[in-house]
Order: sequence, then structure tokens, then C-alpha cells
Amino acid sequence: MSKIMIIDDDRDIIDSISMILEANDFTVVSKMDTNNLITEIESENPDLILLDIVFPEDAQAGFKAARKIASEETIKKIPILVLSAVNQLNNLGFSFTENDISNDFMPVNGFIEKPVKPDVLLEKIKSLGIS
Amino acid sequence: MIVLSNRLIKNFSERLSKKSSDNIIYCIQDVHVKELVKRLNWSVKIRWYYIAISTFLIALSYLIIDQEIEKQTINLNFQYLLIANVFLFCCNLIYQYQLRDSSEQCLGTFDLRYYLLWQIVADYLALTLVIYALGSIETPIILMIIPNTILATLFFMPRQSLLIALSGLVVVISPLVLEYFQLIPMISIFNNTFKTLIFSNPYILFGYVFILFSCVIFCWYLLCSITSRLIKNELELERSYQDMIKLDEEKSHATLRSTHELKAPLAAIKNYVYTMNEGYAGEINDNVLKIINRIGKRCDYLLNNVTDIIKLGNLKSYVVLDVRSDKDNANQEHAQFYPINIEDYINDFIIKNKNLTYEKNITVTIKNEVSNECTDSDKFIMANDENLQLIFNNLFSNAINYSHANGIIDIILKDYENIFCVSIVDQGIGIEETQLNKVFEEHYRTNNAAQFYEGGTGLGLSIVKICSQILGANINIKSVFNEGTSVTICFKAGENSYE
Repeated sequence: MSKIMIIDDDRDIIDSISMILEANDFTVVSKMDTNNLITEIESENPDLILLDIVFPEDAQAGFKAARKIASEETIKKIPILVLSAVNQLNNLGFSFTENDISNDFMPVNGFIEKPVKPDVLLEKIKSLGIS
Repeated sequence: MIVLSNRLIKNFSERLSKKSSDNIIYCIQDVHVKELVKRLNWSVKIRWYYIAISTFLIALSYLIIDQEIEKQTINLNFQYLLIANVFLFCCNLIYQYQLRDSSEQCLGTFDLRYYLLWQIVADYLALTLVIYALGSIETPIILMIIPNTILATLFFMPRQSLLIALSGLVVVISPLVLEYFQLIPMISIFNNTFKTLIFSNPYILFGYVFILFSCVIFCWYLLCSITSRLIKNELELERSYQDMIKLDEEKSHATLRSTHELKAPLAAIKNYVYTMNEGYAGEINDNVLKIINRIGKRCDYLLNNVTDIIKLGNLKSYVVLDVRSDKDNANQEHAQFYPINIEDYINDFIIKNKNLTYEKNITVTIKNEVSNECTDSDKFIMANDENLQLIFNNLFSNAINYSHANGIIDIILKDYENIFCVSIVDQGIGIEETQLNKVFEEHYRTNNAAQFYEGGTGLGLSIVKICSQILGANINIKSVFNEGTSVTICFKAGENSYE
């Protein structure tokens, strides 16, 4: 039984995603901000992180969190799926490819735009080898 | 180098506005240092041309002037001319070597002021020797002081450049004065006839020197005012550019925030709809499920509308920027174009988006009608993924949304010399001819379209139109009511196609 951590400031998104994941035998833990991020991830040790981008404290807090996770030796292997209402066409200036010269590289394993259909979410999680 | 540019920038910035921030000065500084190095390279190049041409002329004169005639009429002092050229040649070699060292990576490794001053002094010395060899006043060669005056005004502050120009003038007329007072031997290329006449009357000599001084002062004043104005404009332009970048960044942040604030609640509602619809929230009776699906559809409409309005707003601001500023730079800065093989792009696009056709069981066929003469390089267009995605996402989803179930969509690729066209042809509900010219208007939807597909926002084709405008592509729409619609977008082909 894999553990998935949802980091999102929207309680409704956490609840609806949790319903889908728990019904599919995943253990879900959640967090509504990016404070004490590393400590909490280390203590929960999830198999996957679902990460939002825009938080009330910072419009790009999700990007910063992803970079922070990727730079931390103990947790950098945990896959990250970005789950956000803003999509890649919103001039966010980030890219998933390391060689993209015009955008900042985002060290994440995938991007899902909200709202997400349950089967799309489950398929994406499965594609990362999480079951 | 940095010292000089600091002085230049600070001086002019202070004159312009006391509110100039350090950041702006710092940015402008880089621009100026690069500009100064460019000008230096230019002066070295000019000097090489001078050396080459004068050496050629000296050699030519030496060969063609008959020795007998020379003795009677023209008396050229080749040795002085050659010494001056060799001296300039050696100096220019040193300049070139130093400039190569001052590549952009190591600007500031030597002081530009002393370097320049040394160049100007060396030029004056060589020029003085040439002037003396050519009989001081007998030829207009003394006017060669003007290029050096130009050089000084380009690089130094007005007072410094005036001082340099006047000192130079004193140096180059010194042979004339020394000859007049017989402190050095008099050299004449025309057997003293012209020179004796001028030396016989001190007023003529004084008048000549006065005119020369006036010419130099006039050139200095003219160039100083032009250079000052140019630098002032450059500073204002740079400041406006910095402001524009700052505003653009602020706009991007605001767009991100507003997109999130508008979309996030709708996304949460829609996520609940998905959760309930698929039974994750327990059993729901059919009537409630119908209502939930209606909520979901209204949510989709709102989400699409919000997304399209924000996208359209973003795209419009690019177009405004393009009109106001230099078109090439504006587009490259904002849209970041790069060569894209349009044929491969369309093939990939259809593969990636084929799942959209499953719900209505629509068949998509690609008809490649590209001629054999069309090489791989002819298939490249200058574009970016963002605009192409917006164009083809909208055109393809329109074709699907307004097609009947089990319909057919043809994607036709064609080339016409330097033009590459992509047509998306559906056999859907079509558009009446009278309404065809309005379909690119914002929020415009035909009654027929609104009844056939509820989720449309009426913004898709407006977005397509603006994206085509940004990419420099032409768009054409043809339709027969109840038979289908064909939208063709034509790009200028070739890697340097963007104008």
C-alpha cells in the first residue's frame, strides 16, 4: 500500500483527491502549506508527492518546494507530480526538460492540470510505478 | 574601461534625472562598455585602411613620379612618410592586440582612457610627421586632424575632448610655426613657391591658423551636441526598456495569480463532480446524477471561458508590444521563436490529441500533399510551441466539437514555394456565408453553433487569429452550411522566414 502526500492549499482539492486515492487503496497524507516541508516529508516518507504550484504566501511556492525537495539528499528520490490549476501555457517560465534555455528546469516527474479526472490521475500515478 | 563608462554614465544620468536608480545605471553601463569597445574596433579598422591606402599611394608616387620632374616641381620626402606609416602600423598592432584582450569576458582589464589617449597622441605624432613631410600648409592633409577630433568627442567628456582637440591642433601646426621662425628646416613639395608667399605675410599665416582652429572647434561642437543627444536618447530608451521588462514581469505574476484565483474554485467544484460521478462519494440516484452532470458542464464552460479570456489578454499584450517596438526584437524577446518542422509537428500533434476524437468516434486522416521539390529545410517555420499549440488545439477541437458523431476530419498539408499550409477540414454543421466574416470576433457564436455545442466560448478563433498574427501566418476560413468547414493556416517557410 503506497503512501501519497498531497501538498495543496485548497481543502476541497485535498478532500476530493483523497476520496479517489483512498478508494484505490492508497494511504493519503496532506499538507496545506510549504512550511517545514523537508522535515514533514522526511517524517512521513511518502512514495509520491502531489504538489500544487500557487500558494497564498507565494505564487511560485510549488516551484521552490520542488527544487528544495530535489536538492535534499534524503528525499530527492521521491517522485513529484505537479497538480495545478495554472497550466504550462500561462507563461510560467518553467520546463520539464533540463536543456530548455528559455525556461527554468523543474525537477518534477509530471504535470496534471486541475480539475483532473480520476482515471487520468490514477493512470499518471501508475505510470510512475506507484501502486 | 569600467572607469570611463562609469564616468560617462553617471555624468549623463545625473544630467538626465536625479532619480536614476543604481540598477538602471548598472544595466546601462554594460550596454555602453560594449558600445565603446565596438567604436574602438572601428577606429582600429579605419587606421588599417589609412595605412594601406597611404602606403599604396606612397609606393605609387615613388614609381610614377619622374625623377627629373620631381627635382623641378614636386619634392616628396618619402622617408618621413614611410617612418610615419611604420610608426602607425606598430601602434595599431598594439591596439589590436589590446582590444583582442578586452573581449566581453574580461572588460575592464585595462583603463580605456589611457589606451585611447595613447591612440590619439600616437595619431597626432604620425600626422605631424606627415604634415611636415608634405610641406605643412601646402596640402589639405592638415585637415586629417578632424577624424581625431571625432574620435575624442566620441570617447571623452566634452571638456576633455576639447582639450585633446586643441592640444592636437597645436601639435600638428607646430612644424608650420617652427618653420616660420626657422627653427627647423623648411620642407616644401612645390619648390617653396606657395610657402614663401604665405610666410611673407604673417596675416595670411595667422588667418590660415585661425580658420583651422575654427574648423576644429566647429566640428567638436557639432559632434559633442550630436553625441550628447544620442547618449541621452540611448539612456532614455534603456530606462524605458527596463521599465517595460519590469511591467511584463509584474503582468506575468498578476496573470498567474488571477488565473489561479479564478480557476482554483471551479477546479475544486469540477473535481467533486468527477468524484461523485464516478461513485467515489457513494451511491447517487439518477436524478441527482443528472444535476451533477449539468453542474459539471456549466463548470467546464466557465473554466474554458476563464482560460480563454486570460490567454486572449496575454496574446493581445504581445501584439501591442510588437506594434510599439522594433518588431524583430519584440517578437524574439517575448515569443522566443525557433525553427520548427511543421510537418513533424502536425503529425505529432494528431498522435497526441487523437484521444479527443474517441467520444464522437471521429476519424482523422492526414493528407500529405507536400510536393517532391519541398526539402526538409523548406518545412521549417519560425514559431514557438505555445502559439502553435493554441492555434491547433483550438482549430482541432472546433473541428471535433462541430462535427457529427462518426464524422471525418481531414488534415491537409500543402506547400506553395515558400509557403507551408495546413488545412483542417471537417464535415460538421458548417457556418452560413453571411456569418463567416464574424467568426473571428470575440465571443461571437452562431445560433446554430451555440445550439449544437454548449461548451464553446466564442474566443477560440479570436485566439487563433492573434496567434497567427504573432507568427506572421495567414488564416483563411471556408464553410458550407450543413456540409462542413475548412480552416487553412499558411506559414512562411524557411528558418529565416520571420519578418
